[in-house]
Amino acid sequence: MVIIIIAALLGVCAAIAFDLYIPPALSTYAAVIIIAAVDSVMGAYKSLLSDKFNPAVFITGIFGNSILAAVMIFLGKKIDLDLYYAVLVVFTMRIFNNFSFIRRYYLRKLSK
Amino acid sequence: MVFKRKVHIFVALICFVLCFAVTLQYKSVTKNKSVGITQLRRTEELENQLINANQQIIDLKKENMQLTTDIDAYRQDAASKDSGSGALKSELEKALLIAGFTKVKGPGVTVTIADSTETEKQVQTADSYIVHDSDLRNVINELYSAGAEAVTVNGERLIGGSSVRCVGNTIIVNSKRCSSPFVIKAIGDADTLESALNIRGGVLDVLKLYKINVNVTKSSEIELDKYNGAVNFIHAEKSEKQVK
Repeated sequence: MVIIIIAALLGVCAAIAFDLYIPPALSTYAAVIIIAAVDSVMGAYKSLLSDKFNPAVFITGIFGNSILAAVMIFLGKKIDLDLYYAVLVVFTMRIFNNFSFIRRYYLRKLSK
Repeated sequence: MVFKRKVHIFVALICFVLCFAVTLQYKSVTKNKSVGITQLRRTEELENQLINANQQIIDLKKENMQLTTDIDAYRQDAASKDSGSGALKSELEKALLIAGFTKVKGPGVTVTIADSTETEKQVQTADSYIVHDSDLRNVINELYSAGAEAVTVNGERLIGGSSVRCVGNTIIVNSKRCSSPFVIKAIGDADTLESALNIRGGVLDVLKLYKINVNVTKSSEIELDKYNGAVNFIHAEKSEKQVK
């Protein structure tokens, strides 16, 4: 658990240290991909708790989801439809679902 | 347990990338917003420049007036010395009068044209109830054809190269911006000018049809300002050839 937190902090520091910026045109893509990644991480944590974690599933999930999300946004921009709202809704719903699973898991553990 | 440890490192790696991405995005968004603020600052800067430029215009106009009085004094001086330059001076004065570079006075009419005051409900399209540049041009054209010798629009004297055109929601006469109400003053035979404007089916009748407020008053003496801009001929030059 500690190693995860350290890694997260390192990530923040690295981003601050590098003089790197996302161009404004790609801002939407980056935001949605971040949400997709958060969803994947939550999913991974959930499967860790239920001892069903599979790195292959996780990797394909995080890349597959991100790419699909980006394609959806691109398509949405081409046909003048704000598809990223739909993508966001789906991912946030999944995040909440995963969170509720994790919550229940710990509640059950506590009541035991 | 070994497997679990591996998994933890794996998740840590992903967390690293995720946090990196989130921070990067946050940085970018903050930077984009600050760009908006600098644009605001630029606007302020330009505003100050505009104020300075306007002040300069006022100063230069004052200087121009001073210099014009000086020139007049020199002319007066030169004319009083010998008769030849006296003739030249009167010729010059005539030319200036025709060109519109002197103040003039005489009988004439004052035409006031203002946007319709009809309420919005009665108006079908707001566009047809405001005064357009073409309306002004029609009135000016009518005045000239009725023998007007000098015309001003909102105090801006019309000369040979003057233009009346619409830019945005204002009308630019010469290079001065004008807005409703438009006061057109013309020197000429007052009765002729008035009847030319008020002729049935004429320009003012059309404007009244659109509920535009029009008012024509005759005066026995009105004074018109001179043209205040500069005229620079760059391309045209005097030709001695006889055109057949």
